[in-house]
Amino acid sequence: MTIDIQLDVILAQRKMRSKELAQRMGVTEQSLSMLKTGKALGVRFETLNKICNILQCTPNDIIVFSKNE
Amino acid sequence: MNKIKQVSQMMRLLLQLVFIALPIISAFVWWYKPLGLHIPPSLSGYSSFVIGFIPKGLPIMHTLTVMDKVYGFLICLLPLGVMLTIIFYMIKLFGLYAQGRIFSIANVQCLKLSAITLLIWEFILQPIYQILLSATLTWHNPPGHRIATLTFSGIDMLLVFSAIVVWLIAWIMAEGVTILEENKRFV
Repeated sequence: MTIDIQLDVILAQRKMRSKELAQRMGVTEQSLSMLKTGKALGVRFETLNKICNILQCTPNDIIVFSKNE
Repeated sequence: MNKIKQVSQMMRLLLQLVFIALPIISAFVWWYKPLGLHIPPSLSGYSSFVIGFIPKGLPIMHTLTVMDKVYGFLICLLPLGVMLTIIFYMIKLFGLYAQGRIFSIANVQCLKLSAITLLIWEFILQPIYQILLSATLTWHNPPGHRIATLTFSGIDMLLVFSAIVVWLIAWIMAEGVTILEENKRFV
């Protein structure tokens, strides 16, 4: 059972690059990369709020719980 | 941050100068003024300021020979080595500050190693140094007046206490750095 981050999928759907999202969020590309690759230990609500606002999506679209069988 | 970097760079340069000057001054004092180099009050601001390595009260009943001075200087490489080691770690620490690295494991290591060096000096090297120096300098005294001294004074207790405090600070900083690194992984 894992938590998957689907940020790349949403970015592709919105035709937006990570760099642009990072700039609009006011974070570094490295921070965003950590989130995308699952290396982040956690996400702040503030960050999630910014992502959802910019990408016009819900947290469910970005953070997906999957049961690996 | 710029101010931290500037001050750190200045401190680093100052410490590098001290690192070079210390062995030169030590050799000079041993060669020309082994019994102590008296700095006049006009320069030192103190009524009595002496740069020297021979403990006060050590009964030297002969004129120090060239070999006495050479041996004395070689024995003094012990405390000199300790001082230079600590100064080296401080140069490294201020170098890290000058790069803007304030909280990192490397900084913690500098503090920790300085504290360990000081403790090694106090408990291992200083006794060896004191015994060697006193025995060497009184070797040519008349029989019955050759001594080997060993002291542990208030200043030594203060140094041990300071070393322990610095070690604790380093440990706390290490814990803090771990928390900081963990927090960095929260986006």
